[in-house]
Amino acid sequence: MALNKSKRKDNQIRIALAGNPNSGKTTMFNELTGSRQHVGNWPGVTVEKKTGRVSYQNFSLEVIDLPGTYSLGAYSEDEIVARDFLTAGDYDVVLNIINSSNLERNLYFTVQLLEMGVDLIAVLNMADEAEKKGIIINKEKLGQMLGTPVVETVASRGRGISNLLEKTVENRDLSETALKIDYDSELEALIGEVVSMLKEFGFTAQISHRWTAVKLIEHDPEAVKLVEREVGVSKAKKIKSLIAERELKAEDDFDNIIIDKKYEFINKVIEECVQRPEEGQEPENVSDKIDAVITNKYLGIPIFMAVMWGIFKFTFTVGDPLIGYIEAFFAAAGTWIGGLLTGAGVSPLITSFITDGIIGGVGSVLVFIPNIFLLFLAIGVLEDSGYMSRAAYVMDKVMSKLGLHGKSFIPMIVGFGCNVPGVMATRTLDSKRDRIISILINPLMSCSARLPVYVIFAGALFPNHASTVVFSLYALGIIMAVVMAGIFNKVLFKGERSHFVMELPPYRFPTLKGVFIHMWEKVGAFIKKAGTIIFSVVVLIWVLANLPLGVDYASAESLIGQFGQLAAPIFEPLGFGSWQAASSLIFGILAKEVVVGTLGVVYAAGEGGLRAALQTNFSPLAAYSFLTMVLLYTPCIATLGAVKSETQSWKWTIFTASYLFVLAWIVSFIIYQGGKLLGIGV
Amino acid sequence: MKEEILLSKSLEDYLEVIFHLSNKNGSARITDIASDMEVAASSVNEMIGKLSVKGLVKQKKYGPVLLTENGAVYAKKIDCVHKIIFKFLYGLLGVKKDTADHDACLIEHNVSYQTVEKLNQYLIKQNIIDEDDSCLSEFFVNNKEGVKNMAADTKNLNLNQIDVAVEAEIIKINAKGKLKRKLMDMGLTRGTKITVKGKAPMGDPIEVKIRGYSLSLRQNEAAEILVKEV
Repeated sequence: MALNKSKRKDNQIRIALAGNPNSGKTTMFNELTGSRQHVGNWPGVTVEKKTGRVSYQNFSLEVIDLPGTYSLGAYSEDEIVARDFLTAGDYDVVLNIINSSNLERNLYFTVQLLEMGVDLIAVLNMADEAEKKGIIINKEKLGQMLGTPVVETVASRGRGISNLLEKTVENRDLSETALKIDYDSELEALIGEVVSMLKEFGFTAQISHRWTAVKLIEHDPEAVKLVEREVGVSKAKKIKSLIAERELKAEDDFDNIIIDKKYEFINKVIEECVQRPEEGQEPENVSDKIDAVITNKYLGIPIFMAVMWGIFKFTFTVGDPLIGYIEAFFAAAGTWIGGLLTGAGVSPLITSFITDGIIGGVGSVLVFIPNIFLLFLAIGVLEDSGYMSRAAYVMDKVMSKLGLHGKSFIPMIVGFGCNVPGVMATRTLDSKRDRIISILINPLMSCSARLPVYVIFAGALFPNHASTVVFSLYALGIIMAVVMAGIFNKVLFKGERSHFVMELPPYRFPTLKGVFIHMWEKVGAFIKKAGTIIFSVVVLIWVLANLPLGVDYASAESLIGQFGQLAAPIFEPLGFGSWQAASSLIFGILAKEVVVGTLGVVYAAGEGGLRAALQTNFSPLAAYSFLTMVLLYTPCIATLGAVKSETQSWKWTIFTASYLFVLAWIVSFIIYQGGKLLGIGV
Repeated sequence: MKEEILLSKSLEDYLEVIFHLSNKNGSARITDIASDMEVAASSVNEMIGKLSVKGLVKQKKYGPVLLTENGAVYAKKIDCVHKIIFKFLYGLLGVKKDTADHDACLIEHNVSYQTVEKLNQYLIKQNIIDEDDSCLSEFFVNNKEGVKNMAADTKNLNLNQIDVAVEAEIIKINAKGKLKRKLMDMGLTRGTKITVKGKAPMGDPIEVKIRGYSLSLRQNEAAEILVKEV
C-alpha cells in the first residue's frame, strides 16, 4: 500500500511505530531515537504523535511513535490518531511492535494492519519476557504465515536494535500484498458482491477494495464515511442495505463472525509457530503473586492510600524548597535587571513592564515546574511499573459511585498540591467524558496556593479554631467536587457510558531512561502550551494595574482598582463588597496566593498590619464567606492554561472559569445570608 | 441465586416446534422451523439466538438447531402441559380437535402448576388419562414449586456469577455497540477460555485472565458475558 507517500529524498525513510499498549513501543522509540526527538503537535489532531530521527548507514530515518492501540476500531482519541495515520499511508514502513509474551492478543492488531495492506515489519519485542515464560516462537514460520519480515528485539536492553535498523533499511520499499483471511463462504460471497459494487460505483480511494468491503460489513463508521464521500450517500446506502439484508438472514452478527475468524486465524498461527510449556510446567507468575497482595481485599485500599500519600509527600516536600529557589531567583533577577535598566536611564514604566510583567510573569509560570517535574517523575514510575492500572482497579468502585472512572483519583489527589499538574494528569483517562469531568472538578481540590489565604484569615478572625476552619474548607472543596461530578454526569454527559475494560499489564521494573524521557515530555509540553497563555494574561493584568498612565501599581485609580470598584457590588450580598476585596480576587486569578499580597497592598498594610486590617474590615462570617469564595471561584491562570491545553477547547476553558465563579458565589451567598439569619459570626 | 428461566410465549412455541422437529428428524433446520412457524428465517434466527443464550438450544454455525438437555426437559414439559389441556378440551368437553389444539397452545403458556396437576388428577379419575402413562408424573413428581422451574437448572452463567479461579468458556457476548466491540477486540470471543483471577477490594471490578493476559472488567460488564464452566 502506502500509495499516499509524500515526496522524500532517496536516503530518507519514514517509519511509524505501532502496536498495543504495553508492548514496549515507547521504549523502542527511545532506544531508536535516543534524545533526538521532540514532542510535535500534528495539525488537526489533539493528541501528540512523537517524532524523532536516527541515522543508519547512509539513511536518515524519521521515526514516528503512534499512540498504543488494541485495534483499528478506534475508541479513544489516541486510537483515532493511530488509525488515521495508518490509513493515510504517508510512511515507508510500519514497525509493528509486538509483545512476544502475549502474542495472541498482539497479533490481532497485526492481522488488522496486514489485512489493510500496511507494509510492516513484525517486531517481536520483549523476547526476554517470552523466554522467561518458556515461550518459543518460530520466527521463520511466523513470517511465512503472516507474509511479512519478523525481527526479534529486547528494546529495554537495546538487544536486536541494529538488526532491526538493518531490516528496516532493507525493507524500505516493502510492498506486501494484503493478508487475506478466509471468512466463511456466505461472508466471502457478500464481500465479493460489495467489492464489485464498489468498483461499479467508481470507488477509487487508494485502499484495498476488499478491506473496505470487510470494514463496511463490520459497520465501521469510518469506512462508511469514506465510501459515502467517494461514491455518494445514495450509492453507499445501496451497499449498506445489501449488507443489512444479508445480516438479517445470517446466523450471527457479521462483526462477531469477522472478529471470530480473525482470532481463529491467529489461533492457527499460534498453534503452528509457538511452543508453550506444558500445562503445570509454566514458570510461576510473579505478577499474579504481587497482584494477590496489591489488590487484596483488605490491603488494596490501604496500599493505595499509602502510595498516594507518598507521591503527594514526594512532590511537595521535595518540590517546595525548589520553588523557593526559583522564586528567589526571579526576584533577584527582577531587582538586578530593574537596577540595570534604571541605571541605563530607561523609563520606569518600561522597567516595571520588564521586571514585574515579563520576569514576574515568566516566574509565575516556571514556579510550578519543580512540582510538575517531580509529580510526573512519580507518575512515570507508577505507570511504567504497572501499579497505575491496579490503583485504578482498586478505586474504580468508589469513583464510579461518584460518576467518575477508577483512574480519576490521580488528578484529584494531585490537585491538592497544584491544579495545574492535576489537570494534566487527566491524560491517563481514555474516555473524553471522564476526562472532561475530571478536569472540570479539579480546581475544587484546594491547592496548596490557597492555603496561605486560609491561614492568614483563620489566624486573624478565628484564632481559636484556625485548623478547624482550614480543614472545613478542604472538606467543602471535596463535597463540592462530588456534587458537581454528579451534576455534570447527569446534565452534560447524559447517557454516555464509560467502561472499565482495561488491561492489567504485568509488573515491570521501570527504567530510569524511560521515566526521565516521559517526564521531560510532560514538562516540555506544559512550558510550551500553558506558558504562552499564562504569560499573555500575566502581561494583561500588569497593563491593567498600570493604566491609566501615571497611577500607582494596583491602586484604586488603576484599571484594576476601577474594576474592583465596579465588581464590588457583586460581592455585597456575600458580605465583602469592598473594592479592596474585589480587586484582591481579581489578582487571585493570577495565582491564588496573590490574594494575600494584594490585600496587603490595597489595605496599605505590612504583613503584620494585615491581620488588624482584616479584623476591622471583615466580620468572622464575612471572612468565612470570602474564604469560600477563594476556595471555589475561578481558578488561577496557570490552571486555566492547563485546561485549555488539555481540552483543546476555549469552550471548556471558559466554562470552567465561569461555572466555578457562579458556584462560588452561590455557596458564599448561602453561607453569608444563612449565617446572618441564624446570627452566627456577624 | 441462579436466574430462573422463564420464556415468553413465542419462545416456548419455538421450543416446542424444535422439539417436535427433533423428534421427527433428530434435529431442526432453520428453514423447517421457519415453514412450521410460518415466519421468515431471519426471525427464526433471532429467536434461536435468544434460546441459545438461555442454554436451551445449541447451534453450530449454519448447522441445524439441537436441543440441549435443559432445552429438551423444558420442551417436554410444555408438550406435556399441552397434551393434558388438549385432552381436557377435546376428550372431556368435546371441543373440536383443531380448536382444542389451538386453545391448548394458548393456555399452556399461562397455566399454573396447581391447575395442571388438578386437571391431570381429574382426567385420570375420568379415565381419560392413564395414570401410569401420564407425562406429568415424569416431570412434576418431586417438584411442587411450579411448572416453569424445571428448566432453571442450567449451567450457563454470566461471567460475574463465576467463582474466582474457576475456568469458564465464553458462549456469547450479550453487550451491544462499543462495549461489545471493545470486549471482542480484547479477545473475548466465543469459545475462549476465561478465568476470574480476583476481585477488587469492594468486589467490583473483577480481574480475569484471558488469552494469557490480565484484564479488568466491571461487574455489570461481566454480566453481559455469557459463559459456562468447563
